[in-house]
Amino acid sequence: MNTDANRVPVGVGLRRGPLMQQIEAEHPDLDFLEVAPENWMRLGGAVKRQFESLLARYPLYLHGLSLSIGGPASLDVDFLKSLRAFIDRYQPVLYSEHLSFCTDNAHLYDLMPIPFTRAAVRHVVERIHRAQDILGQRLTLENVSYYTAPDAEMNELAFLTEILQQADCDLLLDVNNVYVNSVNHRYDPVAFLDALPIERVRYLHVAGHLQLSPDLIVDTHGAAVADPVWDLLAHTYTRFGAVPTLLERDFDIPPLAHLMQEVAQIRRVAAGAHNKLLEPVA
Amino acid sequence: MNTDFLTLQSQFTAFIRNPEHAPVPEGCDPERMKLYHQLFFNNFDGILESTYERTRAHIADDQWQVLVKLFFSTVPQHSPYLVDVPGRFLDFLQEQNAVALSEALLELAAFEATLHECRMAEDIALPEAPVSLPDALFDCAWQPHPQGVLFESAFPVNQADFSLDEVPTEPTLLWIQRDDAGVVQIYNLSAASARWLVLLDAHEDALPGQSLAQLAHELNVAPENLTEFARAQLADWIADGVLIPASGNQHNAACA
Repeated sequence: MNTDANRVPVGVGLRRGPLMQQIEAEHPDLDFLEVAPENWMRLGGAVKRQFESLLARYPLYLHGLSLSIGGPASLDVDFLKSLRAFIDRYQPVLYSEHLSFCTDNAHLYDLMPIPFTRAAVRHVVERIHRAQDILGQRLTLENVSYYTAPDAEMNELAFLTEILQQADCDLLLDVNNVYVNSVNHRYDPVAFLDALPIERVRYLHVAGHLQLSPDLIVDTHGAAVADPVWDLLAHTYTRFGAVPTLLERDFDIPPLAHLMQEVAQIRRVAAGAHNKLLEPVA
Repeated sequence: MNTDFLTLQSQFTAFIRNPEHAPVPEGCDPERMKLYHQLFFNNFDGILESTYERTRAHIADDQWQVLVKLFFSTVPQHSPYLVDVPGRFLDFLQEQNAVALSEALLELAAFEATLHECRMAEDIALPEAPVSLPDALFDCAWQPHPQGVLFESAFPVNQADFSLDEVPTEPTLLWIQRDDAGVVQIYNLSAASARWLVLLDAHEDALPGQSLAQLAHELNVAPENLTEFARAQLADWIADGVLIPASGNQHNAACA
């Protein structure tokens, strides 16, 4: 566990299968585990006992998938109440979700960009307030990657910051998504980061991606973190400090030892950014 | 812009579900919308292929694509839990007419769906297990484990190499249940054993002798002729957790 106050807390996503067994057996030097509550809320049997055993050792972060905070249909209140019960039982450090929609009148189980319009901002802000009321806590929402978006009235940055301000909620800053979107939609990722409100950034994600063409990257979570994202992460720590950081890996998951090398790299990047801040100005 | 965001969202999802029949949403890049469709479709296909691995192996690639595309584009999913999708797919397979599927294949799909459900089942509160002695087996009331499933098929779907074309003379009767280590166990049952499990479930407040007497009557044999069979079967089922003490039963105080 982390004992150095300057060391950034780093976690990995917990998934059933070999990775869970390795974490259980080896107790790696991680500061927290993250799970998608939808995949663990209805647990039973041995895997539930293993999950609870790991929570005795590691703090828990939740990262939801199905809330559809920007969706057109009514919020699923029954689901939110089940989620509240899960949160109350396992007391995570925080619960985060995606600033996106994944439903119309039914679930599609993946993330779509909310149209960047003023009416959509009002719609989302109202739903955030309602969800926060039911959950009894602030929401932390992630900037999502996207590949194309419908006609817009504002850009992604304006849409994101407007919602954070109006809803008074927090940001899960996905650094890989900033990079992916900066390539897919041709903007400066550093300028994007520098325009975000520092006080709202509570949590970071980094992940690998798949570059299909010079101007198109898919956010796969199926590869090691790419060099440009490491550079952007260093800038992120310089600007936002040692914010807790998750290494996301959902596909082609390598052995734990390999993941821990990337965890160590995250810590080195954060330490480097911290040391840079302490350097005397020439 | 003239189109409200809800309409744009509707256009977006319509294209993802069915790119061949829905227009590209206003302002979106057509090629990248196709990428969205493929990513979403692959997500559905992935969980269906992993759940129905053996069924999938018996269906030609183009036929499987027809099935999953039709399912993806036409069947609304109202559960926030992705793991519920395979169950909906089984219903769809049994109702659809786009691809002719044999009875054996549908039963194999039902078997794989049952394995999935057992693997994913939530815990439920169970009564405390009594300290049971072999001689007391008949003095306690037992019920089948509520998370177990009695599965009946005309085909031996639990056998990896069963023939889809030959209908055996005897049905396959299975008890499927997740064990304490999280592994889904499959127990073969005789017709008499399966029937007794059904009777035990129907008479969970009664001692096993009562359902055994009914079984003997149905089989047209004397109850005492079933005693040894029943004793061995009860001991096995209790050891395997297939039977648990009947909850709140007056007979069971003496078993604890």
